[in-house]
Amino acid sequence: MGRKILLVEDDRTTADFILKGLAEHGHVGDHCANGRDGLFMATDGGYDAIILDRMLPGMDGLALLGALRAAGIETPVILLSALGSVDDRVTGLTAGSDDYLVKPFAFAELLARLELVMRRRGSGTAVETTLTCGTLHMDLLRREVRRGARIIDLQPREFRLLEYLLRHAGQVVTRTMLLEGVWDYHFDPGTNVIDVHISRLRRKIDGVDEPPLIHTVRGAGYRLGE
Amino acid sequence: MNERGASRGRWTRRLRSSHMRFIGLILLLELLFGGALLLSVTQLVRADLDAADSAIAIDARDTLLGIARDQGDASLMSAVMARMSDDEDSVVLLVDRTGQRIAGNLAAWPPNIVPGPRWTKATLYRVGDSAPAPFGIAAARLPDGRRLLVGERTDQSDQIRQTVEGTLLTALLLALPLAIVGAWLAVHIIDRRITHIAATAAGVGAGDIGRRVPLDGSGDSLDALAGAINAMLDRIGELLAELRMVTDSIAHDLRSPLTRMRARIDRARETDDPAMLRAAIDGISREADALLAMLASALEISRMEAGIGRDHLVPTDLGRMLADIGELYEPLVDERGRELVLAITAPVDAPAHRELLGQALSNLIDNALKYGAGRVTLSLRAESGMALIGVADEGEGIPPTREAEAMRRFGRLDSARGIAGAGLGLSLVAAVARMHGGRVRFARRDDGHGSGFVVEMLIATAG
Repeated sequence: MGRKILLVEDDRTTADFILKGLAEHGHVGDHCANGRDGLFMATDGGYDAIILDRMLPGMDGLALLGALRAAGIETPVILLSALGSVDDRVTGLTAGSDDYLVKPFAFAELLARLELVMRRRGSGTAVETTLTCGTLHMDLLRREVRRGARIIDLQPREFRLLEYLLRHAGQVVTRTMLLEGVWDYHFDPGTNVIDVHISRLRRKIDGVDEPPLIHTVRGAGYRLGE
Repeated sequence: MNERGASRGRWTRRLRSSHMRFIGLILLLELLFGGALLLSVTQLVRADLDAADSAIAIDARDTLLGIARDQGDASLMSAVMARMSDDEDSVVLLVDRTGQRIAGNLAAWPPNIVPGPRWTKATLYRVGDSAPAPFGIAAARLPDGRRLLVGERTDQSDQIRQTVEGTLLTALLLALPLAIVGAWLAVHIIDRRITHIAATAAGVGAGDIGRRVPLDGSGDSLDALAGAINAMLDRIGELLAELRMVTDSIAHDLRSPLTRMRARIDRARETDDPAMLRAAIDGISREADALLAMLASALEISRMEAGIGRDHLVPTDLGRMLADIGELYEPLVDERGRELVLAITAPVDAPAHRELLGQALSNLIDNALKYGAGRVTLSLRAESGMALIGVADEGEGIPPTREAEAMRRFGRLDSARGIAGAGLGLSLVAAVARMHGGRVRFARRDDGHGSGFVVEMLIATAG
């Protein structure tokens, strides 16, 4: 199902790279190269999500975002920025963006986050008590996980990791998304600590004779699904 | 038209300049002061002269009145006549009840003079004179209704007064150019010193970083300004030197991964095997990630050292945070065949930048895994107002002689050059510790088995 996405980005190469990627994944991408046009299009375009560069000619990305939110337009926004420090990130998020991605980035990371913010807005806040993927069931109230008939014993953090994967079942989640979503840290752990957590979880979830549920997505991250 | 407009603009600009304002202010003060002086001196002189003149006139009148009272009419008449003939500077007039002249050197009673105790000044035309003259006059009514007027010329007093006023005015006018010169000199003295400062700033701005404002050692505000500017320039110089070192190191440290990337690209160009190509791309992508991580750390360190982010320190349960980080790393440590233990003696709360402290701890654990040996211990204790977070392992650690070298930014020890790493880890930790009001130091077990790092952080006392 294609979504309508607005890209406000002045760098031609980055814009082409993103538009091409969006088209490959069945989304419709509209592009404009300056802040003023971007605000105009965002205000009346009816987009599912906006990818917004932070530094733009005409009107700064943060100003555009501020104007958009002030006008009561709640379209999910992902800020793209070459400003990668922790404080820049905080500024971007407090200004009303739904996510913040530092340039350069892998397209898979952008796509994963894009789908996350669109789903977050779409699904609302319905309280779920059980999560399911194939033969894997998670009971959030009893804090119990089973694969078919087999009860899986998980550490608290493994439980949260699996819960995150289940909530984003079918989607690609990147390592940084996992570090943010499960551990609430944004720093770069250097050595890939997340991979080791996933392989531990995988050993518990995917038995020898069971079809694997946790898939490694090359160059991007992981995906939970059949 | 245009030219006139331009020249008018130049003039208004010149008038607006602080020089002109300063000179104008000094001139204005000078004029006000001079004016006040002139006014008060002339008033004083006038009052003094008037007192003398009135005393003479009243005295003369009272003498004649005394003669009239004590010696009778004949004596009065002869006294009046004597006055008329003796003193050519005096005026005297005696009129009867109807105003008819009885004796005196005035033709008629001047209408503006009323008999009374006070004296009056009047310009009168004496009989036989060719021109009117100023007189100080005292008049009185005799008991029989006759009126007597006696006066003395005040030319001399007026002369003195005019001389005094003229002198003062001349002095004031002479002082005016002096004031202008003085104001200009004062402006010039300040101006010269400010010009030094401006020239230094301009020189530094143009790239001559070594220039400093000359100090005169007086300690006045301009000297203090010059000192402050020099201190600022010293700091800028230090930062620039550091920046230069960092850029040199970055250039140096970037060169090798970039060269490796370049080699991989060249090799990939020559192959058609998809598996080899894929491997090459993966390798290049890893190198690129490492480069990006390195740049990110370098930027973060610079920002911290510039003092950015201090306002994001929030009270944090360090024990809990350490446990979290330990839990994050535990599987990795386990996979490497090592062990991670927590040694938290007591809960410690301190203001912390969660992300940056997390990054620092992650770097230290990573370090211990890469270069250390045996069990990795995360410890936490509080000691004299500081929170001490320790990350130690059972390896030999860095030789004591090379600790400073290891702490330097990008200062990766040669023996570690073989192992992948950006060399920024420890300097980032040091910057994080400084940001938290502490420092990072080496710790070594006495028995030589085990070493590590201790991050000191200030525990701010509440209130």
